[in-house]
Amino acid sequence: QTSPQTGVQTGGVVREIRVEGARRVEPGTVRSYLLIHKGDAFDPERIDKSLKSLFATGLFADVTIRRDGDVLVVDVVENPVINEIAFEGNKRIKTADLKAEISLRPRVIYTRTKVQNDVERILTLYRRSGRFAATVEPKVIQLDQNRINLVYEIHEGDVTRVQNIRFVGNHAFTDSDLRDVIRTKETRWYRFLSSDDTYDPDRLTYDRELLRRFYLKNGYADFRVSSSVAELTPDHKAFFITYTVDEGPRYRVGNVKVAVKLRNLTSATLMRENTLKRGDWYNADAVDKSVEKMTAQVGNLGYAFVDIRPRINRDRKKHVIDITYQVDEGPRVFVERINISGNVRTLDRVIRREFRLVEGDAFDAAKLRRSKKRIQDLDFFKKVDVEQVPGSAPDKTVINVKVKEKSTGALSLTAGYSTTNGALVGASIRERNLLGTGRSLSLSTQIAQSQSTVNLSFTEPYFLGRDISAGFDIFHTASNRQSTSSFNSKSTGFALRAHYPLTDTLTQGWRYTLRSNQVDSVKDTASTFIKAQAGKRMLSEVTHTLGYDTRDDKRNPTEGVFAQLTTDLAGLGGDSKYFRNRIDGSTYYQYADGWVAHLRGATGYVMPLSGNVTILDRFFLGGDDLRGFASSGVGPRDRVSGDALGGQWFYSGSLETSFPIGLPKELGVAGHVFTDFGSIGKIVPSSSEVQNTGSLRASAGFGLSWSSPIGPIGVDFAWPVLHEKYDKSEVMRVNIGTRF
Amino acid sequence: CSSFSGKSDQPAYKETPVATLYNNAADQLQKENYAEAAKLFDEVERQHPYSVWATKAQLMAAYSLYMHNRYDQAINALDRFIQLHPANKDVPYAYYLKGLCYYEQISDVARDQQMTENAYATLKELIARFPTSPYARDAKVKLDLTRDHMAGKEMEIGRYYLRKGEYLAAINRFKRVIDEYQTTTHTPEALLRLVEAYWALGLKAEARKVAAVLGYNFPGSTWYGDAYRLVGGKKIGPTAQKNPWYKFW
Amino acid sequence: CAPRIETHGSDPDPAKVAEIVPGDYTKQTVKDVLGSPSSVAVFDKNEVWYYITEHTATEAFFKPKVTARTILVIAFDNKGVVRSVKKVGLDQAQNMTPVTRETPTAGNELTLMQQLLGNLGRFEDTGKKKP
Repeated sequence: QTSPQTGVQTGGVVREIRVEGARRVEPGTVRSYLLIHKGDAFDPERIDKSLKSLFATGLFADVTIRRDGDVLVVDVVENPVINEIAFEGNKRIKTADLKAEISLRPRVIYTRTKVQNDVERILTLYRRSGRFAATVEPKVIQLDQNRINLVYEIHEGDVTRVQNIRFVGNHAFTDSDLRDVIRTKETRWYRFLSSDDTYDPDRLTYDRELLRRFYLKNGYADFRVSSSVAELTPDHKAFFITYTVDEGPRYRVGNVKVAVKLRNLTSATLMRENTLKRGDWYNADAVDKSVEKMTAQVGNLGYAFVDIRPRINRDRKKHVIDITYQVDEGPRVFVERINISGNVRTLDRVIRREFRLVEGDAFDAAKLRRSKKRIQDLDFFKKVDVEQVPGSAPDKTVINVKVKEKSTGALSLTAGYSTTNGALVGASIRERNLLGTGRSLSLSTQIAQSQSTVNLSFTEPYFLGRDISAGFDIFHTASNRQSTSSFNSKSTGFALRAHYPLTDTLTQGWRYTLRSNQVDSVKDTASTFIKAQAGKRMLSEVTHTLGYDTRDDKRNPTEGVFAQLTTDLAGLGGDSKYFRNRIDGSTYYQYADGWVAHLRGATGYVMPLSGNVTILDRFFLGGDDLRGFASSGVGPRDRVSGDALGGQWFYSGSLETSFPIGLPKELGVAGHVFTDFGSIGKIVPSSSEVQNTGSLRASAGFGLSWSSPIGPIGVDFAWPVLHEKYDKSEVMRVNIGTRF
Repeated sequence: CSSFSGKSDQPAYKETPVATLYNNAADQLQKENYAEAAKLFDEVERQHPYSVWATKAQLMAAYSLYMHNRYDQAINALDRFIQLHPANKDVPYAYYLKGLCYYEQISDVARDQQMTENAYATLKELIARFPTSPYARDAKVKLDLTRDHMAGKEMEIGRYYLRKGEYLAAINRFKRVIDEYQTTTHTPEALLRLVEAYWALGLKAEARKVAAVLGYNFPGSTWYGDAYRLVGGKKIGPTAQKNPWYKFW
Repeated sequence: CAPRIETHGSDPDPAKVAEIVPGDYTKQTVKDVLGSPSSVAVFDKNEVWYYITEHTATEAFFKPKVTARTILVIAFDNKGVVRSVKKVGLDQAQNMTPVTRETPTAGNELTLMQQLLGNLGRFEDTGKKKP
């Protein structure tokens, strides 16, 4: 831009303002941005300000203001308008993503600064996906009527990988130990799936934090990362990362004190929560955990305003640390309002009812954290931001909850193969947040060689406004048990269910099922017992379950116990009358990183209340719960037809340990070795034709499991060790469950 | 550099005089196929950015998008129109249309009220900048409805706490309706809810006082009937004071 | 299984509450000692402050039961000096069921179809509008 002409004579009044060169922008618009109007004096200072305001609009490439007698002439050169924007050479990042990133759009005014910003935005996009060698060249093509086309010529270059990570100054731990601690990984062929081996500056700072926490956990209280340097090789292809660390001495714990300044709360009650004893190696994590436990304990005792701060003082010579937990009255702050926003579909109360805090309550950080976790556990939202802002008074605070919803409707198709069910295909439409009320409705169907089901289920998580999850299922199941017991069965019916927590770990559930069971297409070679049970029977059954669950993770637990007692009482109407109990339990123990021992046991007994227990209500053993034997491969069997008849009691158990087989963790492959055992027996009516020894069966074997991107895949090989002649064995079992 | 074959998403680039292009667009608008109309109006502006038609076309494109319920695109077009032609005579209409775009997306009180706030802000700006424009009058009506809707949200949360027995939280929510939204249709119910909450807490004197205010200002309302039944009618009729300071209007 | 004990509301320290004596404490000194009130009376000319404290016990899935509630009622005179200090306990609570009627509000109800189709452009309704 040329500088404004300065030789403007002052004095005299502006009789007229003439705008020249404005073809697209209206003269009226130009005048509205001027700070000098008809009738004002020619004031150079105001003219200069008008010039700046016109430039600020970004509408003009150049502006000059000059005086022609009493007329103020504003001469503008307009910025061209963009007709079209195109990208060339972008393979890795799609044009649509690039278009979304840049600020310029067709029909918008072109300015050099905006183009530079957009070039920068495109480059950051490439850097974030690990391509530091990318270059972007904007090209302008002039068109008529002051319009232009804009082309971004992009040379992507290939991904800049992290070639090598080195540590300097680490004596206590080896380089490979520390490489396991940080997230950034060195590039390896098998890491094609993960992007952890690309250079990302944010991840570098996160790695420094991980290193600090790791060392603090092991007693190095003075640990510091003095520098973390990432050098780019001249050909921009790879990065070398070097961490220089200053470990400092390793500290032991000195004396631990709890200083309490609260009315009638003794330090002894809190000391129990502290896990660090004198003489242990100092551990920052343990201190934080102790503080958390103390805060929870104080919360339970009804103290609302408590602030617990650990104070560490180091004795640098003796390498001993004294810890004092400072417990005093925190600032009295009350929750004035809870504002919920972003819930475009979910109802306000569905989120508000998860809150452990009510407006007017004392502010409690632990309760706020728990509330945020409960909202996230709803799994309706991509993001849940909870922020605390000052309220209308110094001791009042407002909590703002911003949620970003995700689609909770899911149409999922599954396909797979397993030895028990054969090939299977399934589809389900599921809406977990129906009309934003938090209720879930799903229609699912699964067709497999051995069993096909159709199931419609509805669940209200807050039945009667309480913490009871209640719902109903309507189902139809057709099972093909020709290979094991030469008959097919169909059952259609509905069930009402409700379950609720008694405590954090104990849940109780009730279920009433009314369904019609039909045994049909019985082979004429089938066992006489089975032929006797062909036909339709009504079942009206009440089920009570009591569950105890302290596992740390539902999908692949490493510690904790799971136990469940199930009691079925059939006979309030309907044809079958029996009383059936079953207990399942399993416990997990991780004795080394990735090595998890898993002990599982189950037993059950069904007793007829009148008449006999029919085949559909008896227990069957073998297959998944007794590997090495085919499904229903164990237990009372008709000597003539070879059909499995099931039994009224059973017990089974398994001792298994899983271990990593040397492949890196991200691939998710683990091996396991196991021994299964169990037995089943008692069939009424019985006869000499029935082989039924009720003896102990056992098997041993090993297997591999892989949580692949397309779903869990498992294969087991097991051989019967203790078995009866008439049992049916099955060495290999495969389970491929794909979900896409 | 690359050729610009017709692969871009704009319709094929055929040079048509601006008047016919504009009329085609106007026809489409008349025949109510709004998507086509919006595209053609854009085309007017793209091919002839300097014609006097271009400005009008920008506004008409926004109007077509609005009629087609493409609210976000309409709002972008309107913002661009206001930025490019601040002094244009149609700017009040652009603000009004933008207010409508938000207004028609207002969701029910139990859900996010972002659109209500946007509508409120845009309509308020229209009334502030162009008080005399013909659109200001309708904007005022819509502004009151928006405020009424915001009060509805406070009531929704207040009732949630009231039903859960969290009387303190409920009282503060209903008090806010009385303090900030007293000209809305929710005031009588808010007064009743306060009577209910105070009564439940055992603050009988306070409950009776609020019931008296409700009786005085909304004597015929069903809400006063409920309050009367609850608080037991012991001389809580409208008090004799000449002009009690809490009389609203 | 032990019920979950919780305190709601302002929970002022009983010792400090005893200090508030009518006649010499003003609004400012009460606020310094007890903090902001939980709620302020709606229509009282010279303001009444409420400090509400509630202890609830919640067992499993049952509704939380209010085990104790004290409401400290501090009334001021027109010069802002404490006129009276009163306590209202749980014994004076009245049982009340809120009226179910609600003042109608407008706004787009989310229809089932819109929900199932996910957000194809928020609340896309292709219905024609009067121009």
